[in-house]
Amino acid sequence: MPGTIYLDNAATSFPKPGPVVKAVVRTMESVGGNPGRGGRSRALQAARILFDTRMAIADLLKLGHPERIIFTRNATEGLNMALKGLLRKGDTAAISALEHNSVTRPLHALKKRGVKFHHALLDKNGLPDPKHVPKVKMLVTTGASNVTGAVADVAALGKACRRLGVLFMVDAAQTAGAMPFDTSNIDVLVCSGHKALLGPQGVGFVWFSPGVEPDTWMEGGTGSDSESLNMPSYWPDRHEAGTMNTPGIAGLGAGVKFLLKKGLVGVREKEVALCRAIIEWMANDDRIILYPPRGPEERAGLVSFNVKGMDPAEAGDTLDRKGVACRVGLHCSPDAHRFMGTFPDGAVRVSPGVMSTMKEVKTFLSILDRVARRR
Amino acid sequence: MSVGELIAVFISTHETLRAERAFREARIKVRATVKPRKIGSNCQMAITFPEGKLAEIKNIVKKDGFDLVGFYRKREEGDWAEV
Repeated sequence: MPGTIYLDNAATSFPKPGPVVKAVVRTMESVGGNPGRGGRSRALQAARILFDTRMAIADLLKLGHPERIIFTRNATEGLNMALKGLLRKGDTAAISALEHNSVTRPLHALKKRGVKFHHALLDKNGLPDPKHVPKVKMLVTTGASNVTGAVADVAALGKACRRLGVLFMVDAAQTAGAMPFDTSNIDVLVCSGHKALLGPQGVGFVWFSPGVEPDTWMEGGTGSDSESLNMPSYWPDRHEAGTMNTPGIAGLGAGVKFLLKKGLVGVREKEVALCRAIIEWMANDDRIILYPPRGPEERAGLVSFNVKGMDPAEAGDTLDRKGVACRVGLHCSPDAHRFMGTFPDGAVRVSPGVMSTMKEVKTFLSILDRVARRR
Repeated sequence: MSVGELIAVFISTHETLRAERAFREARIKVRATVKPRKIGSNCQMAITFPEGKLAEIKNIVKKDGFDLVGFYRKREEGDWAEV
């Protein structure tokens, strides 16, 4: 919509950088082949798109063994693949208090298969405390909450897990592409492609460190080992059955290369500056309930709040009608809202992104001022 | 495939493209191509390269730890012999 101030980048980034759109269109207009299906030039071009995207992701996130990056439809698919592929009857997983339904629902479903899960010992932000990592099969944490924005100390948690022999899985939907973080002790990293990594919807990935061998999530054609009824033993073929989303992966690759040029430190500084402007304005206005953590450096690039005396849905709807795109409700993370004290009504969330400007943030704040005056 | 060329076959498409990148970085003229059906491997791709570069290619494969299936030369009879 023309004139919209888009502050919903925690849901999906928008607008996409030009090279992302061009990569998707170019793939659809000029490539046409399917990766790994024969060595003809079009199939080869498609295979190169997947290869280049894997290498660019590995470069951006400092992941070894790029062949262990498995493309998925989204982070949810990656989380399901990892949880259901690694946890067995009798295993226990520990989680943060801020997990998205894409973690809690698969774990709830796994209860029927004899898998247990509970909260880890938590810090003041509801995230696992690195000093008290439980001796379980797997520790799962959000890299940063999509509701409070609180950022997990994945470096310290990873070290603790490594020491204890606990598998460490990070849901990096809110952090990959938004900020630098230490991946050296992460065993399973799950990412959404369409948020801060700037790709189109319908693409994401999961990376497994060497030695972590999940069950296959799907079986089918891979273009390799076709005579066998078994999936190939080598990666990525083992975990990528069926025709891949080549245009989407091309877009994701272009988004990642855009970020490599910009640098994650610069991206993070920009989002911190935008969030600081929002937080400082809200913290000084008693019509607004601003939820912690307070410091923009302590949180991902999002701010959750409510307007006193106004239902969050009404506030969001009013903002939407005035040209501000934001997200209201429970954000598919009811546990995070329970922790924040906003369950069941939820909150309003604004999330600037790498394409947002300070001018847009200031215009949003003046619109919010008018909305709060009318409550 | 031209006279004086060999092909290198790797375990997967990803590994083939990774090797191709390394060979190009070493300024060796290579080309990704369709793997001949008669060569027993599960990957459908192969890399052609000048026979004179075999030693250099072998060094790169060893140094970078590529998962190689083998090097092959086309024989006059039309089949392929492992080098």
